[in-house]
Amino acid sequence: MNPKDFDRIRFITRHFKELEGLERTVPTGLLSLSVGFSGFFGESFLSILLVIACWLGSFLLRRRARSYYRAIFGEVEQPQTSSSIPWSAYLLVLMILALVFVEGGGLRSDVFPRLLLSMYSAFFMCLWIWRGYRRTQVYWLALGILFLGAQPFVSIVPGDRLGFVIFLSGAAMILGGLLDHRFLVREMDQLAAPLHEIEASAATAGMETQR
Amino acid sequence: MSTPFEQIASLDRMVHEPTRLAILTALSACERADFLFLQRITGLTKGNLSSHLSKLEEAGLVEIEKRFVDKKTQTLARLTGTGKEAVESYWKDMEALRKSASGWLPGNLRPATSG
Repeated sequence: MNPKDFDRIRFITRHFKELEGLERTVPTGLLSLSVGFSGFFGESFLSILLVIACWLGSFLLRRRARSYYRAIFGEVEQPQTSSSIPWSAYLLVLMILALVFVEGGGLRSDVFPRLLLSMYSAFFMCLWIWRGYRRTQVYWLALGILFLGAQPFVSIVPGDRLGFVIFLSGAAMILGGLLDHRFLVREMDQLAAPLHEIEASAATAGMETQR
Repeated sequence: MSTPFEQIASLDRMVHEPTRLAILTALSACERADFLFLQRITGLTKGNLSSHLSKLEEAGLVEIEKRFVDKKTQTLARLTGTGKEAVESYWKDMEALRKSASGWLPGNLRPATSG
């Protein structure tokens, strides 16, 4: 075991709740998708069906993921402030979006979808900084969203551009959540290995001493 | 100035042992963690983890709490104030040791002196 392993233990423990991608990020992404669908497809039957599917999926996944993580990886309690900051920022963004939707289409100019994409990009960038410049896929997601925002098709996409933007961001959140989940599972498996070796060598040494 | 051997010998043995250091490192990064998490992150068996936690509790570095969740016992561990100080002090000592090790001369394990 080397200092890097201890650093990994520290990182996983500190960011454990954020890395439980299936419990928070993916369900939140599904909710964003549902908002995107309703904006994008209007009040059609397909839209209602997709929204219901997203909400149901989000609710069920959150419930199942919570018990899955508790049963497989156990539980970590963080200081109140540490894990809530990025999520509070995201909720604030969602609240602003909801207000905009309620208020109507006054702000749906060509600029606004790009502004929203920049806000989502900033959220992912904050998450990357929050994690001590690690988990670079979050950084690439931030850049990807920003890149999409700069593309001309954002302004010429048919239907509701705002819905399209939220749809894209929801998809990015789902991708981010799945990558976080994969990282957590892989790291937890890898971290256990060096200590298994130490335990095994200690047991062997003990047996030799007994002889 | 102490010799490298004295510096190594002065390290807290209770903290320095790799498995216990892994447990303490994890606990220093959170408020508290349950038994299963510590078991998964260290890869220890239940018996070994339990034994290490008992030693740490006896040394006053860790506090163990048991509670019932869904009719099952959940064991939670947290660092005590002494534990936090011990871990911080250990990493400071290790850093100092690492720095002074760069000045050690081959064949003569006395710290290099300037001038």
